[in-house]
Amino acid sequence: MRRLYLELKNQRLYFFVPPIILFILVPLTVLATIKNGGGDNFPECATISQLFIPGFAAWWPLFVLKEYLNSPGKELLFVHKYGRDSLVFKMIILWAFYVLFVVIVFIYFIFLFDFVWFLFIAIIIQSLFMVALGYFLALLFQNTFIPLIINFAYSSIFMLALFYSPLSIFEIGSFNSVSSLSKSPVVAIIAFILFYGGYQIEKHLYND
Amino acid sequence: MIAVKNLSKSFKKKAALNSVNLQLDAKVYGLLGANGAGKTTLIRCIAGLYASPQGEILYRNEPIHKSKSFHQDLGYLPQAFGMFQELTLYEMMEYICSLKGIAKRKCANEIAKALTSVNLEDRAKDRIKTLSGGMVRRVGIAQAILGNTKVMLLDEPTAGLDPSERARFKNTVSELKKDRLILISTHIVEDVDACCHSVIVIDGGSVLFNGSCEELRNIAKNKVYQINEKDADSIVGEKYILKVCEIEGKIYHRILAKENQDYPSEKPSLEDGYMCLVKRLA
Amino acid sequence: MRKLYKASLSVFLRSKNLSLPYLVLLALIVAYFGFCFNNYLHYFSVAIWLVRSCIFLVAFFIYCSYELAVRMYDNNMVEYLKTYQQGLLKAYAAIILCLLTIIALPSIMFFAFILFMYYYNDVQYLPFLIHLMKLSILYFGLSFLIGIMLGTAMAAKLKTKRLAVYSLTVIFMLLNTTFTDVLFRVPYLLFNSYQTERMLYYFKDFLTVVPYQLGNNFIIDPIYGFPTEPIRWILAVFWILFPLTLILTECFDRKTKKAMLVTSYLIVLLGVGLFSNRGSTLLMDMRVDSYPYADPHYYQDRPGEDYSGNEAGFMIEEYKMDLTISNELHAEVEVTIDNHDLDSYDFTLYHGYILKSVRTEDGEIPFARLGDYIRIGSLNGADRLIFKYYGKSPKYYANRQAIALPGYFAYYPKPGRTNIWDLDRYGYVINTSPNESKYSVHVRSNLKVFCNLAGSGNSFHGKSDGVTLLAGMYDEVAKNIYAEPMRSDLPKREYIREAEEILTNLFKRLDRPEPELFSRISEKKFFQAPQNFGLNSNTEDIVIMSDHITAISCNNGPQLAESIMESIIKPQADSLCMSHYRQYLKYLFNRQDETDPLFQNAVDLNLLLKEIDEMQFLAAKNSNVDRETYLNMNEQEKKAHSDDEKRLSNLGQIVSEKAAKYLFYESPRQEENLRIFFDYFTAESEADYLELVERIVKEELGDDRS
Repeated sequence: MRRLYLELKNQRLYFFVPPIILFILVPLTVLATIKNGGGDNFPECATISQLFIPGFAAWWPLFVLKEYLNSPGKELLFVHKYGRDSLVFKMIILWAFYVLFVVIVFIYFIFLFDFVWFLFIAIIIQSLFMVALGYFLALLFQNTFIPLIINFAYSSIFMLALFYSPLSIFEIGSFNSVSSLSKSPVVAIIAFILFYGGYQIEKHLYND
Repeated sequence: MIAVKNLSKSFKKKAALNSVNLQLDAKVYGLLGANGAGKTTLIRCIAGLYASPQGEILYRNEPIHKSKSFHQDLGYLPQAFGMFQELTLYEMMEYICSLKGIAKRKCANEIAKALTSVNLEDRAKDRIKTLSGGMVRRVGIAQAILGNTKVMLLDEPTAGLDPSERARFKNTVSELKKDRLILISTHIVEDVDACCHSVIVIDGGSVLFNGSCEELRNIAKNKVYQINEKDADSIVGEKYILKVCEIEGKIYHRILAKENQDYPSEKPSLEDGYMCLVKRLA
Repeated sequence: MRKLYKASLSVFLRSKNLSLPYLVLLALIVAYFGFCFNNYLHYFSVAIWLVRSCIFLVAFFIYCSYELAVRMYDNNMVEYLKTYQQGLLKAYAAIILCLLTIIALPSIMFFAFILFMYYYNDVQYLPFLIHLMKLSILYFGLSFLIGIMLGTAMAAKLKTKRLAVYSLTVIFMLLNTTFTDVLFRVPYLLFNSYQTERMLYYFKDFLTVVPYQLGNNFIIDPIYGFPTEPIRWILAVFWILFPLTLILTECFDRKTKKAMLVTSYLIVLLGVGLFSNRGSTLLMDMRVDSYPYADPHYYQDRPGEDYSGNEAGFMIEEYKMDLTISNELHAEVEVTIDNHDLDSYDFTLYHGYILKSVRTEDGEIPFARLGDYIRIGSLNGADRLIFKYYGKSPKYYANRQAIALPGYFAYYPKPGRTNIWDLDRYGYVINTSPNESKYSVHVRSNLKVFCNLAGSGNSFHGKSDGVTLLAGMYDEVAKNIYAEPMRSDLPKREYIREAEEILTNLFKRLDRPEPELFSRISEKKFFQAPQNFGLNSNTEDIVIMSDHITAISCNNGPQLAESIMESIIKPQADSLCMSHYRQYLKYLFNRQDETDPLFQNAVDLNLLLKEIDEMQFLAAKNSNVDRETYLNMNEQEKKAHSDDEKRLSNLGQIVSEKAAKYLFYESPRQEENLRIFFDYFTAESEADYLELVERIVKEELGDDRS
């Protein structure tokens, strides 16, 4: 954990990008949407939350992975790759850390809306998917730039254009019933498949 | 060939070079100094990599940034040297030939000569990423030779080389030194001893010594003593322990002393002379 | 140089993290073409889908160029490259040449596919082909080139600071989609800071390399096409040259480096300067200044002045208009006034046009400009005024790409003070002059302009109550019919004749005089207006002027006739009244669907009266509930109120349908009812529609009983 802390510290100011998005931009945007709609407007706020929150979930993981894939002397980092310090484990910890931040945002949402927990569950599963996708692609391409572009491209395409595409992990709607979580189990399963695939690549990184 | 006049260079508030004056001719010079002494800065200034140092650097009496022939005559091996990993050795040499403006018809010949000088002609078709660290360093030397250069500036050329590679390097320098100015920056004294006609010692941005190896050795004449550990305290005046060694179970100190001592002095090595200068015991 | 180029290309192709993604990209492009071909055969839809994906390709090319160029830094090559004569410059040149080759293939693929779709759809309209070629060059050529220049520049300047490069690329990518639109609206929505929103969008626009962005759901008007205004090209050149100068500063030292730095500052200044003077561009997004929102926002913030029925006190006998349409409208308009003796003269000129001067023969005269109005003092006998102004309207654009200036819009000074925007009806007021004036119009433009007045070569003259100018991908599709040739609903002369006949018969049936403007409409010039004219305006579906008609759509004669009738019917601007008048029109034009369940049985009048009573009761009950009152209600009261609103809405629908069916279909007095309600709607009556219905139904019931 100490190592993870130092890896996050190494990001310096870039570390603060997700907190700024979660604690400043998302709340302000949701407030503005409520004011513009003149009322509750929860479906629109749900759309905004899905636009911003899952997309930035992969920020910390990808920037941590950058050191393992792109930095000179990266072999040193891989000396202890087996065991508790494996990358997949780090990704999951970073996702859990991100979820804590999302919880805080949703505590704020409770004061604005009646029921937010279906949306919360959907978003944390979408975030898990984004982290898994970033992790898998980073190890596949041995590069963190492409996964970053793909992550944000995915969020943009399916939240701005192809809303109802079957390939989209996002849901457009009011999130007031369990049916709004219809995609979530599938998304979670795909996330775990991606983690598994990434882990297989991780194990063989220096075997050649 | 190259005249350095009152050269000073600072980085922010730190002075890396302080009024350096040198006259370099077609010989092999060793540039000796500790880490942070200013060796790389001096070499980079001479290579023209710094835009605005104070002072003048003249090549054949012409400032280097105005001289048309300087860059054509210059071969430079930086401290950190690398190449495109995806190219083959031959392709990389061709790349450098193009950059150096070597005529197409002469290219193949020049590459063959350069690779032969560093004994890498059989690796010409191999990708750069398959070469070992030592081989990469030799390629660095080869690219510095390309184009029949007259001035070679080599910054830590033997860093990371094994003993056989270092020996090969010394042979290469011996073959190349004819009519060339070669300036080798290093902190490995044995390399200077083996290759160089002259030595320049630099410390804290200033040149402490510029002369032959023999002259540098003589600085430590009658100042080097090898005595038993028990007698170490009997050394009078300023002293510096060069090394501690064990001979037949007894510990001996090789000491540099400023004043004459009652012990027989040792024949000084180049390193002794260098340490004498750097430790201000001369 | 060839060797360097070949070596750079070899490096690219042999690097797995460059060549493999590139090949995957090419395969995805081909698959995407297949997807577009199968799903979006209409040429505009295809182009939209191709353009939407553009920014991700740009981001990918930023990645490729950065990763290729940064290899020199990762492999510690720069130091010794700098010792060769122009070594670093040659190395960068070779890298850029290599990257040009890399982007050439996808560019050609997009260009070829677009051309293929054009010919496959058998479009046969040369201006559109030219537009597609420009689109391809800008969106699939220059934007890719911008990507490689940005990536290479980031490698040159940021070197191995990958976090910075990644962050900048993500920001750049998101700014070129509508991802940031919700964010940029926050300053205005939360803090009422219009200026901050403006600044944010200014910044976003400056970084926009793909003008039609992912997430933009606004329809593209065929007259305009995709945004390819001159400023887009200038920005593209800027985003190519500026990174290039940054790269060059790394390749040179001393004086040349300083010169390059100065050049890059100058390029920035020039770019910002030109961008700030970009003039009229089509802004189809969510910002306050955009096409759909600028005017509604402007007018809602202004004090509600109503100049309906305002008399100017003078008439304009003649207009001489000299218009130059470049980046925006520049105009010099000379007006001849009939009444020279007034103490003051008011004119209406849209507030987006900045008035530089007003002159008479004797020289400049002072004027006061407030919003849409100009006030000038006494003319001291002069009968002619020359107005010089320039500017733009967010909706009625006039630039090098297209012109859409309808005659009912005050883009030139109109006499008196007239409203431009109707807050109640949420639309532009159709401002036609009460009398015809003589016009002499000359338009300097790179486009062929179509006008209601006679003339050619962009010079027109004649008499009318307004001058309409349209240009772009626009043409005369039949004699005196002007339309966007790319549209599927082109107007036809037979539709107009049919509509004229329908209207003549309708007015005979209603026993009402046909408005003068409706007479001989088939002989008037017909201009099809862009569909987006209806986007933020309920009033422009069709406008009939003295010598021409503008209409957004003309699918057939009956639909045209109904649109024309709608243009004179002015219901009260509440949703119930609007619903009633739509029902009225349905029966007036015999559009009722007799298979509807409503037609199974006759309308139960007593039930209808009860429903009307209930509606009136609910309306009265909740008439005093404003937002504040609602917020102070408890949960039960809120629920009750909400239920009342739902019931009222449902009832409104039911009553509207039943009342219309009875009054205009079943009733023995249906013709008379049609007349009564024609008068009701055309007179802008304040009377309550339901009360009128109730009265008539009770009368008829009373008649029946008796």
